[in-house]
Amino acid sequence: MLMRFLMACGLCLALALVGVLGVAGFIPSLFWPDRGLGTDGYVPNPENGAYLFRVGGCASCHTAPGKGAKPLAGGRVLKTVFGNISVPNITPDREAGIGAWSAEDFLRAMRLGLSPSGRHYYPAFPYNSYTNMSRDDLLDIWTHLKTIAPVADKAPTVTLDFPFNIRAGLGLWKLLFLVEGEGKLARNQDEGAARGAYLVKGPGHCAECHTPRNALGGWKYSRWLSGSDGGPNPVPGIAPARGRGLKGWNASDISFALKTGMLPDGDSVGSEMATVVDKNLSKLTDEDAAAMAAYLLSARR
Amino acid sequence: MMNTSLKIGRNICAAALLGLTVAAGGAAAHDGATGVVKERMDAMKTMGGAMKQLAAMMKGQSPFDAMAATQAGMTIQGQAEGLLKLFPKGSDDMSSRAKPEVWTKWGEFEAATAALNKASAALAGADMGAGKSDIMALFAGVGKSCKGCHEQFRKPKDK
Ligand code: HEC
Ligand code: HEC
Ligand code: HEC
Repeated sequence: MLMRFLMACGLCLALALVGVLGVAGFIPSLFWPDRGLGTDGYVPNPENGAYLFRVGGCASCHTAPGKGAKPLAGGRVLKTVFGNISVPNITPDREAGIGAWSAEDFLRAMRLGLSPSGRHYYPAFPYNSYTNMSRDDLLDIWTHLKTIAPVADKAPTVTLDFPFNIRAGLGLWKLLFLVEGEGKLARNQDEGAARGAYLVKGPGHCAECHTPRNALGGWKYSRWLSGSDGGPNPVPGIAPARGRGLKGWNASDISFALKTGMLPDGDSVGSEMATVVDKNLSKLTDEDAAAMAAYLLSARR
Repeated sequence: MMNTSLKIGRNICAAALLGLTVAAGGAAAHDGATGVVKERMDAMKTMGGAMKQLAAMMKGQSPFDAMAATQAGMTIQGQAEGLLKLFPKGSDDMSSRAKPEVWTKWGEFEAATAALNKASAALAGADMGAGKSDIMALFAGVGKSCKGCHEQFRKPKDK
C-alpha cells in the first residue's frame, strides 16, 4: 500500500516534469531515435529463435494459465506496482495480434519499449532486459513468432487507475531507468561468463525478479541480483560472489538447479521460480546453463 | 537524580529484555518451529536428504546404485503417505512457509500429495535391473512433483 502511494507520488511528480522536460513521453522519436533497428545483413536462424523464445519465457506471460489456453493469445493479468496490467496477444493475427508489424516495429518494442504508434509500454513487459539482446537474436525470435498459429481473439485490456493510465509518464521513467542496448554487458569477463552474463541480463531477464527496485520501480544497480529487501514478495539473492545468496554453491550446483529446479540440499524451488524453471530454464543447453553459473559466480554487473 | 538513574536503569533492562525477545522471535521465524509445523518441516527435510543422495548419483558425484536409489524412493514414499496429516487447518503460523492456498484449495493440495505418492512409489518399485537412465527418469518425476507442489503452495524464501 505504502509502496503504491510512493509510486503514485513519484509518478505524479514525473507527470509534472513531463510538461517541463519530459517531452519524451509525447515525442518519443526525439529521445529514442531508431538507432540500429534495421534488418540489413540479417540471416535467419529459426532454431536459435525457437530456443531463445523458450529461454526468454515469452509464453509464460503471453499465454493465459490453464489447459486449453491458446498459445501467445494473451489474456493473463499481471499484478504490478503500477496496478494490474493485461498481457496482449502476440500471435501473427493482423487484427488481434502483431501480424501487421514489421521487423523494425518488433525491434523497437523489444529494445525501446515503444509500440509502432509510439506508445510507451509498461516495464512489466521486461524490455529493460530484452534490450540487452543482440539484434540478430531478437530477429530470430521474430522469425519464430511468425510460425505460431494466429489467434483472432483480442486479449481483454485492463484500465489502470490515474496516474498509471497515462503512458506518457512512462517516457520519463524510461529516461531515468532504461539502459538501452548491449553497452554495459560483459566487461572483463572470460568467454563462458560473458555468454552467461548475456543470458542472465538479456533473454533470462533474471534481474526483473532478483534485483531490488527503488521507490520508482527502477533497479538498484548497487544491489544487482541481491534479492528483495524484505517486503511481502520475498526473492532470494543469487549473487554469491558478493555474499548475497547461493552460499556455498558451486558451478554445477547452480547449473543443475537452473535446469531441474533442484537445490543442493535436496529441496526444490517453488513459487514463480518453479514456473521459470519448467517453462524457460529446463530448455537450456548444458553449455548455456554452465555459462550462466559461471557468470553468477563472478557476479559482476 | 535517583529517579532518572532508575529510569535509565529500567530502560536498559527493558532494552535487554527487548533484545532477548527480538532474538528469540528471530529464531522462531524458522528454526524455532514447533509442533506439527516442525514435524512437517522435518518430513520435508528427510525427503530432501533422499533427493540429495539421488541427485549426487545423477550428477555422477557418487556411483550409480539401483538398490540405494529405490531405497531413497521408499524413504520419500514413506513420508508422502503421512504428509496430509501434517497440514491440519490453522497450522500456518509465522514460522511456516505454507501458503494459505494449502487450505483454500485443499483438493488441489491433496492431488499434489497424490502425485508425489505415485512418483515415489514408481521409483521405490523400480526394477533392480533397470539402467541408470531409466531410474534417473523416475527420480526426475519425483523432483517434478516436489517442484509442482512448492510452486503453488509454498512461499518463496527470502535472501
Ligand atoms: C513478465 C511477463 C512478460 C514476459 C516474460 C514477456 N512479455 Fe511481452 N508483454 C508483457 C506485457 C505486460 C505487455 C504489455 C505492456 C503494456 O501494455 O504496456 C507485453 C507486450 C509485448 C509486446 C507488444 C504487443 C502489442 O500488441 O503492443 C510484444 C511484441 C511482446 N510483449 C513480445 C514479447 C516477447 C517476444 C517475449 C519473450 C522474449 C515477451 N514479450 C515476454 C509481458 C511479458
Ligand atoms: C518471475 C520471477 C523470477 C525470475 C524471472 C527469476 N527468478 Fe529465480 N527465483 C524467484 C523466486 C521467487 C525464487 C525463490 C523460490 C523458492 O523459494 O522456492 C527464486 C529462486 C532462485 C534460485 C534458488 C535460490 C536459493 O537460494 O534457493 C536460483 C538459483 C535462481 N532463482 C536463479 C534465477 C536465474 C538464473 C534467473 C534468470 C534466468 C531467475 N532466477 C529468474 C523468482 C524469479
Ligand atoms: C503436497 C505438497 C508438497 C510436496 C509434494 C512436497 N512439498 Fe516440500 N514443502 C511443502 C510446503 C507447503 C512446505 C512449507 C512447509 C512449512 O513451512 O510449513 C514445504 C517445505 C519443504 C522444505 C523446507 C523445510 C524447512 O525446513 O523449512 C523442503 C526441504 C522440502 N519441502 C522438500 C521437499 C522435497 C524434496 C519434496 C519431494 C520429494 C517435497 N518437498 C514435496 C509442500 C510440499
